[in-house]
Amino acid sequence: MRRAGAVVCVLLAAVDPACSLEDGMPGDILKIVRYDNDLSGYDVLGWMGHIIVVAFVVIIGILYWNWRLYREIRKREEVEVARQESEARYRILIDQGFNGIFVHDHFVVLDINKQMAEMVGRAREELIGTDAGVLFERSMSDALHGLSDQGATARLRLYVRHKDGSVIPVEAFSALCRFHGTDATIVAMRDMRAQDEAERILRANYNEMEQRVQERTSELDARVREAEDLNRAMINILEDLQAVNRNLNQMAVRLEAANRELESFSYSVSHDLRAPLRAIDGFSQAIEEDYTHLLDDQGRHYLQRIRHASRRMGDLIDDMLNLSRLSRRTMQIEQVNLSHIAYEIGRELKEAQPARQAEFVIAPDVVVQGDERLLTVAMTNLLTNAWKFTSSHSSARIEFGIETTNECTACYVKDDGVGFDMAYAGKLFGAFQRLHHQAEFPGAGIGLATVQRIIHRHGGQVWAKGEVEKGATFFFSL
Amino acid sequence: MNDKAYILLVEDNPDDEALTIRALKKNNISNEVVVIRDGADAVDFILARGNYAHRDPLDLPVVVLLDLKLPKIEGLEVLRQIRRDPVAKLLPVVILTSSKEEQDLIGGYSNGANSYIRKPVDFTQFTEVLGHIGLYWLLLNEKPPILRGTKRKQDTL
Repeated sequence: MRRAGAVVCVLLAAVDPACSLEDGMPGDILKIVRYDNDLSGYDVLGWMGHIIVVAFVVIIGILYWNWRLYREIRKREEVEVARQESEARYRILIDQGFNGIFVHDHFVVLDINKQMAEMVGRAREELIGTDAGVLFERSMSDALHGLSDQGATARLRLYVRHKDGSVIPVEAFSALCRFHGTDATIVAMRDMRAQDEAERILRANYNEMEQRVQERTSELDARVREAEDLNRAMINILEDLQAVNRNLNQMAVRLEAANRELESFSYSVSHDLRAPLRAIDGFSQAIEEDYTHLLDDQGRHYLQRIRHASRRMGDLIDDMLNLSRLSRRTMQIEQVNLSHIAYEIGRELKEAQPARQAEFVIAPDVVVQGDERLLTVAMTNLLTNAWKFTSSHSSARIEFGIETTNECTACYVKDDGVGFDMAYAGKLFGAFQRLHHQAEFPGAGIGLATVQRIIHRHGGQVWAKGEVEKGATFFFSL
Repeated sequence: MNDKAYILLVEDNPDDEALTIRALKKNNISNEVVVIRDGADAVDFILARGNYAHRDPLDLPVVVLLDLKLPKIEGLEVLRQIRRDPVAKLLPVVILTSSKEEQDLIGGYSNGANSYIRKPVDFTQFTEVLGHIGLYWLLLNEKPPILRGTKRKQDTL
């Protein structure tokens, strides 16, 4: 029976390596052995039963051991695969990544990627094993401590030194790692040139923008001040205007009074001035008729002259009244066909003196805006003048038309009559001004003054061109 | 009532009065010419009142030659007043004045003037004009039927 207990112990030791033979037999097994010893009295199964039990235990033990062995192998295999994958990923990231990376142990470069090598302009092989300090600006020594093996750090601003002396700004961070079984520090960095440039541009843009904003702001301020100045000026102008308006109102009142005075003056002239003239003329004629036998030829001649003078004065008064009436008459503005008016006047003039060789050339459909009655008076004066001052010529050509020169459209009446000296052109339009002797061409000298007044009332201008014996042209714009 | 039709001349200017009468005579118009020298008198004469209250109100001139500028009452006012009278409103009135101011023309016609003549300065023309007036109003024109049963209202004044 002792032998069976020893076998169990060996089996158990194989199953559990923690249990060694030197520790002696486990108590429980010993109990079983003892129990078996106590059953020595039962010989029904005998030793065969013991053998079966022992074999069963042995088989179970072998199965368990194999299973443990299998699991250990699988685990190792998985670890190896993961290590290989990790190594591959590391290589890819190190060599193909966009950033410079190197691994160092106490600033001795253990590994360095292509990008980092390119950044400093040296070969990888050359760099491995060198001092990491050569990678950076010398002045960066303090900052380099940030890349020490203290562990993960905040991002640091560093400057990588290229072999050719140029400096590349980078942002770096470091972290502790294991490299081929030893503790090391991995440092990764990003080339900041593009970002710095972008930032610089951004800042420049921002500055420019800010400058523009300032410029605009000051411009706006200037504008605002300008507007305020304008506003003040406007207020001043408004006040001035109000003052002017008050003046105008006073003037209008005075003008109205003057107009009323003029009206009553004209009325008085109209009524009172002609009566004495009528008396002079009438009684002169009475003397002529009733006392002609008491007078000699000289006396009768004097009476004739008195009568002639009084009639002429009567005509002058009439002309003056007509002229003043033109200014007082209310205008009625409508479309007026000057060609029709010219044609009618020409026809009447020719009918009055059919023997004269005169031709009227009238442009068709000259239509203007104005007071028809006043414009008819003006046209009558102009055409009658042309008729009168061509009468000394054997034939006459009188033209009415319209022409546009230098932004000004003007109607004109042109004749080929006696004309006038331009030196006296200024006297043409004055009331009772004459350029010819009464004996040559009769008239009161009121015609052109009338024309001028009518054209002025229409807001227009009137002017003349002429040459002695080469005709005259009278222009008017409306 | 006179047998012969007479002319009433309302004129304050003695020169014009003399010339008018002379011109009428030269045209062989022999009708009597009654001259009144101010507007108020003219109204009284025509309406037979005041100084002329004794007059037969139906004894009216064949034509009135009325000047516009008159003492006391203006010519146009004279016209207005006589046109309000049921009898005198039919009386032919010729305005004979120096003025041809638009306001006078309009005032004359709108107050019932039958004609408006402007006195010319030229006495020859003046004589011709009065000849035409005489011919027209004394010979050609049919007189209004004033005498036939026209009654003047007592309260007209």
